[in-house]
Amino acid sequence: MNTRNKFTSLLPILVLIVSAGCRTISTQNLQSFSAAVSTAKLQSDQAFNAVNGLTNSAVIDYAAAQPTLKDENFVVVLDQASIGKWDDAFAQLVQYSQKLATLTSGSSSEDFQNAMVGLGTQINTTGQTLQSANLIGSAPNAPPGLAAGFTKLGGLLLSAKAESDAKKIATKADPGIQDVLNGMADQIGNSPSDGIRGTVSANWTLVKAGQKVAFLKATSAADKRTIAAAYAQLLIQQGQQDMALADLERSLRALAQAHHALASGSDLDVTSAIQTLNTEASDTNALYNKFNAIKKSPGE
Amino acid sequence: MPANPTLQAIHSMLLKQVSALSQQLDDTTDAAAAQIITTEMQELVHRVSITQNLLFTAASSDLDSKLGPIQTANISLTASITSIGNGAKFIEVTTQFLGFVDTAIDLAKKIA
Repeated sequence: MNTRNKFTSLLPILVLIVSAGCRTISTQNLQSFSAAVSTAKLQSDQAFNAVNGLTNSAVIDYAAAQPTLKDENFVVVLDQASIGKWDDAFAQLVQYSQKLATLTSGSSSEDFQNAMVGLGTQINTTGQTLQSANLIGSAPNAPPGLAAGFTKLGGLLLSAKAESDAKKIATKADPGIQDVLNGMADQIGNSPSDGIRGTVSANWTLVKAGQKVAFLKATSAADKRTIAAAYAQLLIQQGQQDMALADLERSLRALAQAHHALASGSDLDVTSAIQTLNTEASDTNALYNKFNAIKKSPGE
Repeated sequence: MPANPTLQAIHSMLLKQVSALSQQLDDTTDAAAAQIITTEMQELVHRVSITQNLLFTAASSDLDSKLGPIQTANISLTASITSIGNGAKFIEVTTQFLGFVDTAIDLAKKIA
């Protein structure tokens, strides 16, 4: 067996050793996670816009009931400062996930491969120079297969190192990521009676209370029926809004699970958690479109 | 991004009171009494929204010290809601409760 054949036969074994020796994060999983963070950010924007849009009537009712008209009586459910805190958190998560993905994206591996090709060329040139100077009888040309094999192995080694580094970073960052994402999910609330879901529910309770008073004041059956129909619409909107926030809460927890799976090297769990997030985000998007339709239909 | 535990407790108390008022409203057949309940509910919900926006405020021992009186007032308010027939007393207790809540909110705004 010549040198080239020896190396070619050893290459798959070397690749296996490299792959098995380093518990890594795949570039694809990191890119999926990075995309999932952006999806969750968009989902949160949509859910929060809907909250402020659909509870606006409760805010106006409160301001209208006060003796004087002043700015401080217009308190939106989620103000820009609070939403800004969320945006900051997401921005940091996006940066973190993009950096992790960049680490394993292969750009550094490509540089390394180019260096390996340059080295092969240099060996050939040196051999030819030695031969032309009559210092050796024949040029020690590096076999093309061997050079290519080294290049491939170099790329794999570097890629494995980057992926291993990414995993180490993700493992170290995981407790913090869990705190942030689960903390954000806690802020949304585990039920309609706590967190932002609770706040939104209280606003809907107030809007419905207005209908209850109107119902008691109504004198005809027709008026009562009109009020009951309006109340039914409020119930549907309240349910949909809570559903959108519950979707967001589950997405944030799924994102936390996806990161934990990344750090643990569990590809299956990463895929499963990101699928959950995408489903929840898709549901929120559908609800958001319904909310926009409600806002565009003032008659409803 | 932990939420301030004191504000979280105030927020939770306010939500429970809104829910309790809503249950009372369901049982009220008198429009005038229903209007009183709704007006007080409006005040409570306004504070719910303010507290929500302050929930990210950093924890403060000053703020924590405001929790005790609110909890006491909250107990009085709960008792008042269950005997809501006495409208004047109900408004008085609610106003007292909201006064304590406002003190905590003002402090939270200063340290936000």
